[in-house]
Amino acid sequence: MNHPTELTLILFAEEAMGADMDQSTRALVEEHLGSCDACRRAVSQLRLENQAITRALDSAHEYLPQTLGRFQKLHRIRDF
Amino acid sequence: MADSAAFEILYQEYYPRVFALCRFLLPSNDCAEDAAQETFTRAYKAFGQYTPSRPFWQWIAAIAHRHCVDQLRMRGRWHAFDDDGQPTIDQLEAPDPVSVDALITLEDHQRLRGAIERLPEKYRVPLVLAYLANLTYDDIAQLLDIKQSHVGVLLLRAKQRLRHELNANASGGLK
Repeated sequence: MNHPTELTLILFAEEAMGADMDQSTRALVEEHLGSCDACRRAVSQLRLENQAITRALDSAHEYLPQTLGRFQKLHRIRDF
Repeated sequence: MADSAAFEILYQEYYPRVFALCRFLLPSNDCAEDAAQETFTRAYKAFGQYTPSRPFWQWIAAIAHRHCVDQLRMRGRWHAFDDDGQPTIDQLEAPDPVSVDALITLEDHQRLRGAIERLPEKYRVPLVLAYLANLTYDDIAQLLDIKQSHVGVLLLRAKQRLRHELNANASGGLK
């Protein structure tokens, strides 16, 4: 098997997120990964990449604009 | 309806995260503030349906992203998600580990967030739904009314753009 495409590797790496991959393709990718260091490393890197994106997004609320505090005071829950 | 005092604690705790989620999905701070406020109003009214066995963040994030996607749809910013054509799978090679490294090793979350914020909406929205709201491919496909196979393509394009921007900066663009 030639190296899988990046899309194929992404779908393989994200199977936990419900990415759809048919059984035969998955079997081919698994077989290929068994003998290809570069693609094994690529899958591992893609998973780490996902974690880096999640960390960056997840910490966004720590850097909110200064105006937010003022906004929160204006919209206390009692106003609902 | 929720107990006001108890809900205020949740509001204080989760408002920043809800605002951040809305801000990644919507085009301005004003839109995000309105959406975050609307999210808590809806959550307050529907609090009786919340089951404590489910993480509160998961529950309120679902209210928030549904509302934001509705807002995008109402603002006519919707057609974009499905106009990426079919994936040119055969033209895509396996990822270059060096370029992927640029994203993984980036300790500066703010720079990565900046790059995410600059992504076109059609790439940014699915990326945020996948990696901040933790939706599955199927959930994203249903929410954006696109095929499940297209979700992977949009996420791939988003990551390729992020790598390209971060690599460009790393190779001399940053002053």
